Amino acid sequence: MGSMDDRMLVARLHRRAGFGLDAAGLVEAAGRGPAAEAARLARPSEAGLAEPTDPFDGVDLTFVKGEVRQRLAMASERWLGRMVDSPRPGLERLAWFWHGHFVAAAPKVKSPAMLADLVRVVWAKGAGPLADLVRAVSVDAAMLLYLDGSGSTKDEPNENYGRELMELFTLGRTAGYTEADVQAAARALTGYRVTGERSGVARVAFDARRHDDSRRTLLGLGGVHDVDTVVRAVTGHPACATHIAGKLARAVLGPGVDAAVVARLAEEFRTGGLDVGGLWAAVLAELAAGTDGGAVVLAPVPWLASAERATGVRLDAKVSQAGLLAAGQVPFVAPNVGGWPSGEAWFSSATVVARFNLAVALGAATPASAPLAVALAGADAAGLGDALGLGAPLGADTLRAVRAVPGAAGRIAVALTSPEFVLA
Amino acid sequence: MSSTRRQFLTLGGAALGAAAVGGAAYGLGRSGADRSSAPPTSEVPPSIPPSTTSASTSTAPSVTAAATPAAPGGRVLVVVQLGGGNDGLNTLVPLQGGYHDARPSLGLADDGLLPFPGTEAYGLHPALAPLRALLAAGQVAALEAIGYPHPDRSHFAAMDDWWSATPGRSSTTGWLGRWLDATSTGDDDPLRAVALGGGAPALIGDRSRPTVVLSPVAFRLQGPKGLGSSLPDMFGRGGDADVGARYRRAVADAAAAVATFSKLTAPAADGAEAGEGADGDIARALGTAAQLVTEVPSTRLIQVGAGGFDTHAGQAATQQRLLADLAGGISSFFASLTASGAAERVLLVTVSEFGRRVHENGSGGTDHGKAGVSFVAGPAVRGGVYGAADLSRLDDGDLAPQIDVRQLYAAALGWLGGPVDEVLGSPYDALGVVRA
Repeated sequence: MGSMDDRMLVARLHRRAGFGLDAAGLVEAAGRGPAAEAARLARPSEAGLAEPTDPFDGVDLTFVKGEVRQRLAMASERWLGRMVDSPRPGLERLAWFWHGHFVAAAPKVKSPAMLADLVRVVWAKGAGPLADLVRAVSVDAAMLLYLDGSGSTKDEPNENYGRELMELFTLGRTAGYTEADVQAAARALTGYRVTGERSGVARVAFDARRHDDSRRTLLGLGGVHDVDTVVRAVTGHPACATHIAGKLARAVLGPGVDAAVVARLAEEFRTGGLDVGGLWAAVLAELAAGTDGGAVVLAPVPWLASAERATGVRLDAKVSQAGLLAAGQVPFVAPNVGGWPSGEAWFSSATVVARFNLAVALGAATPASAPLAVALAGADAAGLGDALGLGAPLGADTLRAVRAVPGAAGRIAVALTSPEFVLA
Repeated sequence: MSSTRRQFLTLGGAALGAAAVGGAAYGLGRSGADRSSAPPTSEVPPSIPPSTTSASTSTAPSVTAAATPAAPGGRVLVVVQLGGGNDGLNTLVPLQGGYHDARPSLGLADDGLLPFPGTEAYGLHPALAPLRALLAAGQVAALEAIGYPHPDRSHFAAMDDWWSATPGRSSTTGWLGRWLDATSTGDDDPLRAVALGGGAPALIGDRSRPTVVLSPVAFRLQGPKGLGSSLPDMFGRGGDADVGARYRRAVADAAAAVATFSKLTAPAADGAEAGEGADGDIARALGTAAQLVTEVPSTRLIQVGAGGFDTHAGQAATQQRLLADLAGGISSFFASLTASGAAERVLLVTVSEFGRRVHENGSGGTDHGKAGVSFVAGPAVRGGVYGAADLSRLDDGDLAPQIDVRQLYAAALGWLGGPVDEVLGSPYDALGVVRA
């Protein structure tokens, strides 16, 4: 069954690096212990956990004017379902992290199918070598359209992707790259063009005549002239491991994670050949060992997936997608190339209100026989904490707030918006 | 980098970001093509000057005038943020100096430009035609070649500089947040500062936070009777002590803001009420802003977040649509305020993190540049073009900044009242753009 501390640690693992646990799942996970659970989340195939199916299979995501919004909502709902149900929640949470990192988004990218394909890229390559992931993203149709790589030519290179590749995707703004580096990367990535955006079949074409194949120096590496050499230059830069490890560590270990911990993770990541799966396992092992840089504010999507796991309810697609829109986080529609905000930005009034309304809908949809509803009818601190997958008792203020509301539906709404549930 | 600094930067992401999300809330269902082919916004001549205000302003949005007696309030500053970096050169177009050489396909024909009264040197993008009446009344100023002395072509670095007004230096607070802190009574209404269409780092202070509303329609509490109304005190009032206390305070403030918001006379997203020429994201948000000005006396700062100005490709149609939305929105906004007698209390400024490269790129767009253009509008404005675009002396292919962003801020804060120099760190010449 595990000690109190173990319950709290496995609960935290699943809340920050998965999508939470229901009461029964918490008991099982605590029995395995934090270290084993971290390994299981990071490397589920070694634990024999089945690979989830592709939720976009069988969904028509081709571009049809006037249908884009509905089709994206359908894809979003399918993905949310996979977050709730996946036997491999650790890899799903990692894919979600990448979705907010390598951003291509509607409405600039018109084709829902192309946006779904970029998610397939992070599913397929998000836990492997970083260089493979960066290469795949760099010539992905949605990305080429979103950051204007499509149509960027030798005569007229477009530097949008080259800049964001270094500033956001790999190195960070303070890494010391120059405007000349931005332009060198842009020139080496010329020649691509995406076709079929408005049809069902996207095609990325490379035209050597429109490509600037001259050898240039990028970040100190000579001979850079194409996507492979650009990827080698950026992933070979020492700031790359620090940038990626730091961002992942802050997302999971907490915003105030100790700089020495980040430095250690980055060094291991670097010496391990930038293997993201290894980094993910190392970050989760830190979390299992009790390393904590403060609370992680659950963004609307992981919060809703966790709330659906805890209640056992799948909301009506219209309700959940409208709620996420109001909360400010809809898959495939990141606000800009920097992705969604994190931390206390999610305390904004719009998000608070939308979260509350989603919680009310979840409460109303939870059957009275559901374990969480039963636990909330009784409303004792420890039982409630476990029923919510927290692995720790609810605080006195929240318990008072829960008890003040008559009926399980309202109590569920209060519990899911409580500080204990929103702050992982 | 401290964690607060990181957090500020992250919140920074929220602004542009949530603007785009808010945009999606209003308009994702319609494709860009749909919108660019929409009929041009009709011109709604606002009744200017205010002395001519009468009930006959039937073309003005009518929500505010009759429904609610104008509540006497303080002066209100409205900041419209054009996220992504608006192309200033195709907004305020210099009629001399090689503009057409740099813009062979994107260049706007001289004879199609909207005249800017009082100058022969510039014309305005034709999509700004709804501003004609405000321009004629001398209530629009353009600050040409505005920027910081050492501009940054990164969206995020540049936005951070604009929000903080401490270019190149870390700050955990925005320029408007510091004004809120400095003028706070300690028990402020959450609607004192409102960010429409997204988060607004400029409004974050040490103690002050804006109310953020992405969509007015969605900004209401649902649920069993009484549950929503108990939200303000549900988890306690909270405070500043730690992240949990800050969350509790955020919940309490949001609930209080919803309560006030729910009393506004008409939902701003109701297109029928907003009037013609007010169907874009910016115009809709400005419709809500007009309601706040007239009906919520505690509101002093409103930020409208808009996105989509990062026109690396296919700029012509995108900027046409966005500028039409902006101009139609500003025109309707002042028409509405004039009708309700509140226009004198309002100053509107536009900001954008940078202008764009002077030379167009090969994708029918323009890349990140340096100096851009800001507009200042309202009855207190001394109309005209301030600063100049010098195309003969470019800085690495960009317009070099001639007006410091903080001069615009000094003008806006000086009019709003309060400790300007303290907020901006030192005194700046406000250029006489705004009458006291």
